[in-house]
Amino acid sequence: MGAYILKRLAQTFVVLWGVSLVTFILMNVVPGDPVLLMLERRARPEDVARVRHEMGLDKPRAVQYFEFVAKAVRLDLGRSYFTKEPVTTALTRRFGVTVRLASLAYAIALLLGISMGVAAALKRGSAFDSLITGGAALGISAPVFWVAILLQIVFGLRLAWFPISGIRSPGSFVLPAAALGIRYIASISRVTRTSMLEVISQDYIRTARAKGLAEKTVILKHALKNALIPIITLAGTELGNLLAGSMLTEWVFAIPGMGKQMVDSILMRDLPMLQGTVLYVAVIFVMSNLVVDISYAFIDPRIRYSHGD
Amino acid sequence: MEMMRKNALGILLVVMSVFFLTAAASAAEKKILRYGAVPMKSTLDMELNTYNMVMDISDHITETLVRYDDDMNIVPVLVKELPKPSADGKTYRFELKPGIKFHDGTTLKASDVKFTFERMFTPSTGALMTSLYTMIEGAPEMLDGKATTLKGFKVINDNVFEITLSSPYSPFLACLSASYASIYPEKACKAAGKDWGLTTFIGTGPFKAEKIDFDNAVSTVRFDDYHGTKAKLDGIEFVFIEDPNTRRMEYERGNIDVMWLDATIYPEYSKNAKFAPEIREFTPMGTIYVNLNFKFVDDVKVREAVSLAIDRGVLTRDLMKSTAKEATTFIPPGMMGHDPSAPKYEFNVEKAKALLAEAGYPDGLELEGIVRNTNATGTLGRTLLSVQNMLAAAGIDLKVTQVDPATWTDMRNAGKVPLSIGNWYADFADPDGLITLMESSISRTLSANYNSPEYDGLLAEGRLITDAAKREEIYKKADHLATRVDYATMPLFHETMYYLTKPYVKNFKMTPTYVFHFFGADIVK
Repeated sequence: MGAYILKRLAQTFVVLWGVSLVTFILMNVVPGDPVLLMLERRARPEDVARVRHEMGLDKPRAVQYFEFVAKAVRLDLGRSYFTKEPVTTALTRRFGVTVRLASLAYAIALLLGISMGVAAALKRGSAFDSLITGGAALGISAPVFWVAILLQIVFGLRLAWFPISGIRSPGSFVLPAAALGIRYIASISRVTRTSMLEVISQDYIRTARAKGLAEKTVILKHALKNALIPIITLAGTELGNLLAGSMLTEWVFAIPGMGKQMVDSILMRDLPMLQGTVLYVAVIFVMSNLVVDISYAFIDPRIRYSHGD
Repeated sequence: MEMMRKNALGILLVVMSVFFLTAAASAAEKKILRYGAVPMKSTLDMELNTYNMVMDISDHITETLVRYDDDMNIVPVLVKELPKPSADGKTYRFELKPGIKFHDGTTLKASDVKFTFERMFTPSTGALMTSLYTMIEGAPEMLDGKATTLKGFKVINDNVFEITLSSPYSPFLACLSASYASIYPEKACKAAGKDWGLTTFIGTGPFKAEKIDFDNAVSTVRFDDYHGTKAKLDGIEFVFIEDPNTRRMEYERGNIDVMWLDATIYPEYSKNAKFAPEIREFTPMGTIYVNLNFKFVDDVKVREAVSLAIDRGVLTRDLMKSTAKEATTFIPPGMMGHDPSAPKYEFNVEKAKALLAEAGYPDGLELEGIVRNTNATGTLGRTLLSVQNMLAAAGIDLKVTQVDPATWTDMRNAGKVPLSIGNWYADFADPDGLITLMESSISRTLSANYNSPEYDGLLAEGRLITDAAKREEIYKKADHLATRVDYATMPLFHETMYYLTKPYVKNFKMTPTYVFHFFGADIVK
């Protein structure tokens, strides 16, 4: 297991290098000069040339990239073209915000998604099952910004139970987490239901019941544990998505997280900030996949990594 | 014992109640104005950005030597009086008001002003709006890296300094009123280094920065040692909310006191009995116009035909719901150079068709209009679609393409935009800052490519002359030449804009340069 983790971590650096190179190439291929965006209406050629020089954008592209890599290995990702803030400072701050939002949304999604999925599976064919299945379909298909605005209007504006936007009070994360979590509740409950239905029809469940085990033990210890693999796979991917930030939720609720950071960087052609954000997202996805893979071994002893698979 | 415990509990409750009520009362008494702002996405340092949304904040913290008042007169701010140019029109002698304090307690000196300008022209600063100030002697040399001090700036003593220009420049004081020339304290600015405007931002303004949080809000508090009339507010909080709908919900719930009202939701609010009385309007000094790139269409007949095909009355009346004023000149009413006697631009489809036929397009022609996708549903995008329909009636097939803002900027600067729609607002209340749009050096970078020596000559003359009446005539002539002879640009309308403000917020105005100034604002509940 240790060797496997080390190998995966080594692969991470290759992935990060590849991601940074692709991002750099893409941002240099697509139209959009950050200096022209900065100067806006008064982009006289002499001013454009001077500012480009000061920002190092007149150097050959290869030199720019290798300078970036040389600094990045020392954890210096440069400064934003626009805010002039060190990229690592901005990312650290925004990562904290995204983690808080994602943790709450993830907790809500896991708790409700698994409970509802299990309950629906146990009451298969009932009105409750139809309600959960229908609700899940609605939750997956409802656009997140629509859910967000609805929550804002009902619980923020009309009932005034929670803040409408911003992150300045402890209750600020409730509505955004709910808006963000609803989709994940829906997807996790659907996968849980399907997985549970498959497991509870297995012989060993029948055997467990025949042995006289309590229904609670049968469901939680024998059925749910064995149904967890696809749920963990999905939950791992969703965790990556959540930690990468949600542009729409963050936009609507004025939450300064990673998702909004990334979109702003793309629109403003803020290459240092975008490079940093993309690297961050790549790390999140690589690490969340690694955690998922490792957790397989703990959930299902049949899965082992000792043979390099 | 039980009785003692009960008494102790009672006393504790009373003390706590008094404490919390006092704290609440004290918080309630604080007059903090909460402005729902668009996120800055930039440093507060106005040498390093060009955004009005940043000026909304920075103008309360830092100050310029002079400023426009509500009646559009230039008035002294940090200087005792407005300087007169020397006999040759090149040198201005300024005297600072004595004892002006920066927020860090240091006193403003002439050396701080010198430092501010030298910092602006030092290439490593990366200042953006230097073109407004390169008339100062020695500025180009500094920008080229050939000099490290500003030749045209002479410190006489701590309070007196002279600025010498390379040639006379009438709008010089107007340029000094722009936020890009805000005066910084040398010592603090140098000490902050790259964090100036990020974590440290000190000025002489009526409010000092208390907390700079780019993600959420910038909080300011009243500066009690302010050299002018002290602010009535205890502070201003600039709360960043990107989404206009979320901003209006916060306004409705009472969490913000002032906010922009997007033109798209103005009709809904104007009919709302509760909010209609809270709507305020203002007309920024600017114009919405159509530009036709000379590189694609240099035949003046075709250009005139495009102008003739546009019904500006319909645009202002039907599209803008009478929230705009039909343009009769490029320079808006109220600004020097606006000609109130100018007739409406003619709308005549048949004449447009005849001109096209004369120009060799009897069956009409195709044009391409490019618009930023961020403007597609806003005033500019909707106006361009209306123009598209109007041009179609004259046989001009206008294909409209949407691109993202960065792509648009690239295309525009590369001269690849055949037809565009734009809004142009003055940085300062002088026509030179507005109709420079058509000057060849700027026009080239705006995909318009108007290159008229006569027009450039008029603008150059306007900069040299100090006589206001003569300048007025020059700008009227330049406006006429560009919009009615050469059809370099086609002014459409002057937009009215709106903001919402709670009834208890008093005494503030939006400046004609499109910036909120809450200097004299008060909260009276």
